Amino acid sequence: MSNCILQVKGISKRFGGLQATNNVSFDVYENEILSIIGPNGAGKSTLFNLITNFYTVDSGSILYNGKDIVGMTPDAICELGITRTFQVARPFPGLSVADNILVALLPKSKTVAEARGKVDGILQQVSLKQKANSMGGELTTLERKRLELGKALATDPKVLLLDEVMTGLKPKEMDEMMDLIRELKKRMTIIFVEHVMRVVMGISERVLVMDHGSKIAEGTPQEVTSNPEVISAYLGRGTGNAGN
Amino acid sequence: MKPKLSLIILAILSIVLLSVYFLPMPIYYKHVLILTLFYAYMGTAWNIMCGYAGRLSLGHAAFAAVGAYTTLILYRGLGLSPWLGMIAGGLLAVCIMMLIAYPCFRFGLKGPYFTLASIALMEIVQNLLTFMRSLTGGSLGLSLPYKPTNFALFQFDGKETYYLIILLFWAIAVFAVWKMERTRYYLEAIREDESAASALGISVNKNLIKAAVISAFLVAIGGAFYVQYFRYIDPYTIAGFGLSLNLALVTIIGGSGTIFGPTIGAVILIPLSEFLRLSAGTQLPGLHLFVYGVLLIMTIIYLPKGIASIPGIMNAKKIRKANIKNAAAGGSGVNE
Repeated sequence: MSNCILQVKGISKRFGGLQATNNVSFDVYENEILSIIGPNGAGKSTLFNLITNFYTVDSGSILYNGKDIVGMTPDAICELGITRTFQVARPFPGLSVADNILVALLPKSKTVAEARGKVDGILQQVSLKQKANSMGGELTTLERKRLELGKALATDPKVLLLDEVMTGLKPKEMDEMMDLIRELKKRMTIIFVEHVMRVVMGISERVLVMDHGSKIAEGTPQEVTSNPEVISAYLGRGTGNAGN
Repeated sequence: MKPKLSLIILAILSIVLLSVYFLPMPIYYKHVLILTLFYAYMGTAWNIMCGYAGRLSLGHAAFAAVGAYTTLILYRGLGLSPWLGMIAGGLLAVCIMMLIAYPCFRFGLKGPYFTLASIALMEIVQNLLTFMRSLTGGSLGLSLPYKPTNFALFQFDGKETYYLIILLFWAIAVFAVWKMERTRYYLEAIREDESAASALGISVNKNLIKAAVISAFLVAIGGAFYVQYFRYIDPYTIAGFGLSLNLALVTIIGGSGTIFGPTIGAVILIPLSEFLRLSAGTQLPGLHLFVYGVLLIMTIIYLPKGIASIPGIMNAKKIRKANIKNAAAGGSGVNE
């Protein structure tokens, strides 16, 4: 397998009485698509927040290309090449769609003019060209999701963390989004949190399953869906044994 | 707005304002012009932090006071040229700003809480100025000893030179705001959504502190101009609510977070208030404050982004109309 780009080693996070993440470890390899699944409240989004240091881990380490990134500010982590999207898309409501993208391009551009030159390309990629002059706050849910992805792409990430980009999309739109993600995989590593199993099965190479803050399974989509632990996490315990 | 357009407007405005200097007019009008440019300059400085970054300060007079008192005390005590004194005042204002801005931004104080903190700072400065009587003259204030025209001492007979100086200050401030295009975008992003901005690699604290520091420095320089021009300061006028509110009002009514918003606001409000004070000052004192209030309410209801946003709104209407026309002509062509 190719290089390991991100190593998560035994990270834990507790919010008061809730152990949101419990000693989770996993490796991510360059240019792969890893999906993270699990029931609601399993700690998937928390994992993203910990990797990008929106929450600080209680213990454990996160290595990016061998370098520990725990304790770095979110903006410094983004600068290194790890960009996340938010589960609820967060456009800058008072800025135009084009300016939303421009802002995301700026930190890695030498001049504002250089960034401005790249805006159209990104808008094209996420099919928002006709909305360039609309305000971020005027967009529909789907457009917000696209803009969220566009902003993330504008930061030119090496590792892209996508938090439920498919939720609320129609099947046809999902297919488009899946095509886009496959296309992106050529340039970057993608980790995504997703509930839609069709998408998970369709594009991920490896799947990591979380439940109650712990990792309960990891493997190819086929492996994890036949794992009894995973089935019981989703459907409830006892169904396997009770019958016999 | 197209990037170069603002620069062209600035150049044209500067030329127009410069040529006004050569027009013969009563001395009172000259005073109103100076006052207008002064508030345009101060509003422009206020706007950097409070308009673009959305950290509404109602205590910016504190920095004007620091600039004014530092300049005056250094001149009276040590004979230091006000030109140097105002730099010292600016730097002192920057230090004080850091003192409040760093903890505020570090611990995420924003919205009304930040505004309250800024008011508290102004009260502290005002009280200090009142009670440090031996240095500041207390509530009696301090005056600038008269000297005939002397460039090194920043003193001039007649108003014309002051007009040119404040015009230059204003042009420099507007140019500086135009020039910091990248920071402007960062600040707007931070104002709109801090977390989303930091997720995109924008350092929230660094940019906020940068804005705060530039804003405080420029306002302190404005304070120094104030004392040189009026030749007298006391804690209640220079470190008081009136000045702070005026900075906020000209900016919000003109258009906060825009390059020319504060200038537009000052051009409308200051001559208006002077005119009202002059014409109705004896029968209806305070009429200008009433008009301020009405204007502010109207702006918030009908033009929340200020007068400067009118061209943008017209443009958006045009685009929307064109879209509807296209949709009608091309059937289902435009559904995105």
